Amino acid sequence: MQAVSGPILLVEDNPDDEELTVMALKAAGLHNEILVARDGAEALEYLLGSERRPPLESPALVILDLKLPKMNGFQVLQRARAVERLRRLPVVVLTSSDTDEDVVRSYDLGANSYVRKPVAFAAFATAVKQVGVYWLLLNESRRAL
Amino acid sequence: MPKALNLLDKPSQKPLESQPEARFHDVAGVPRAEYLHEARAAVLRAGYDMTHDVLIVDDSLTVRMNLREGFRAAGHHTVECATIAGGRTAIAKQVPDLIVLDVLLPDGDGIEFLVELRASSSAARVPVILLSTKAEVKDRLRGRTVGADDYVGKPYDVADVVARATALLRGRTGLGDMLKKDAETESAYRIGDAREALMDELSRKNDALSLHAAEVQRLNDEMRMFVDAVSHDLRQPLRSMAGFSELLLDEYGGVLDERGRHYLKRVQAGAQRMGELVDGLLALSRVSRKTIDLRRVRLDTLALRILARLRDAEPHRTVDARIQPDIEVFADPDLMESVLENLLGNAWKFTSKRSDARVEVAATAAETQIVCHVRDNGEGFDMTYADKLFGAFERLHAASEFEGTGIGLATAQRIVHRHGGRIWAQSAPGQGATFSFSVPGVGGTHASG
Repeated sequence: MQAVSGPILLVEDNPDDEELTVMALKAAGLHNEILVARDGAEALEYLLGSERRPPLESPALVILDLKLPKMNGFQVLQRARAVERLRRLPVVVLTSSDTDEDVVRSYDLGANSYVRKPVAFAAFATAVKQVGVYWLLLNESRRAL
Repeated sequence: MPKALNLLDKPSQKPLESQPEARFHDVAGVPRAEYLHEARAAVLRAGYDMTHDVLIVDDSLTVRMNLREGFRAAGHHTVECATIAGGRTAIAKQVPDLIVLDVLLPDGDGIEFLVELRASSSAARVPVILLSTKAEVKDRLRGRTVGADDYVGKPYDVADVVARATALLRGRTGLGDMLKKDAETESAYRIGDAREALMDELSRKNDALSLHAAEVQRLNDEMRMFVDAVSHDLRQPLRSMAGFSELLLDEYGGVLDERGRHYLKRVQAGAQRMGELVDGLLALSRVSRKTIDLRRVRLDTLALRILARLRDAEPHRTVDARIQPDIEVFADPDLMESVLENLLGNAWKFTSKRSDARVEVAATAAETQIVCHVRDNGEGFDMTYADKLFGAFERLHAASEFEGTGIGLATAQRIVHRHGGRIWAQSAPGQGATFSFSVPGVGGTHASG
């Protein structure tokens, strides 16, 4: 199988979670470039572009935390989905919360998956690996982009 | 009763007449003549103009003067003071018919003074109107709880305070005064007054009720915020501990000796266990918040699914599972799954030391309820401690012997209670255990038939 190329945008404000996620993606054998946005505003800058940088060239996947500084994950999702070009971009919510409200709201705003971060690293690594493998290897979303 | 006690305790106090006119303007900016007129009209509307003694306790001179004007215009006598100490002295000299009491006073809390008054023999039944800028729901509630008859927030309207006072005074002394009135109008007044008193009472009760509802809502919101904070904020540091200790063990395990690796594993196990505790608490709190969605549920199907998961997690174990077919109840499917998950999980866990492990699910019908039994031939427990079983964080086995958070049975119990059922256990050490719970059956066509 041919993995989808293009960068993965990881939106994560906690440096530990960032490192663990990057580690898990690498351990899963995914070699996509990983860009990290540390708050919601920076994530939108990557996706929509700004005076400082052009929009990200064909991102393959967005891994989005919900609780973020400046602008939360819901707002990022909403703003991104309002842009035609980003409407079908795979966005996976990866967060600590698993309240029904958060899950429902994420899907309503157009998230493709909702994954809760497990505490144990083995489980965390497995979850991240499955997300990566599914969206970058198995799923044919690229054809729709 | 012409009593002109003046207990204003500010030494610089001048007689009322010498105060500049501008000071008598209401806080809300209503011209004096207008509110005085309204105050008088309020009294006349009530068909009631008997003179009462009103004690005003407020540290603001402007407030005291405005209220004094308002009450005097309505034909009442007033006594004013600026402190709780002044209030005490005034009441000792002459018990007033009504007290207007500020909450924030220089020498203390008006609400505490009110508590003192309610406990006293002389002023226990004197109507009190609390006056305060702190007109938040919780302050009002606090005032009402300790026996305030009304609560007015600042900025206030003098005519409104006087009208409220008049209504309170009428409620207390209405009948006796009315007998003095003209016989023709008496019954009309009586009916009118009774009706108004009832309406007042009703609106006060409504007021109190909506305050309570608001308070409950606020507590619920706080609880939800707390749970969300626990969910997000406590789990992240645990992930760091578990993750990096795992990576340390993986990548640098070779550098450490046996003892070093042992310590690291203890760190990991601790993080893991705390993660389970946090998740357990979240599950328990979610059970209480969830809206119950009642429908027909097959407990035998749920049990089979859960046992399949347990087998998948520990494929090396051989457990003889016997599940009675067609156990149908009327309950919330997700919550029933959670109950069975806890009970079957326990049965699975506590039979782990037996090679002939057996787990059984059966049901009996009793009236409108179905009683479901989850039986095992595992360790069992001493019934002496059975009352501790369903409390959160209680465990009857040493952590080293069987893993567990002690929250599972508390969750199961809460779920069963929310369905109007009961949960109990029967066991003896080494004799296995039976956990039974009752939930509503599906009525006319129920399961055992």
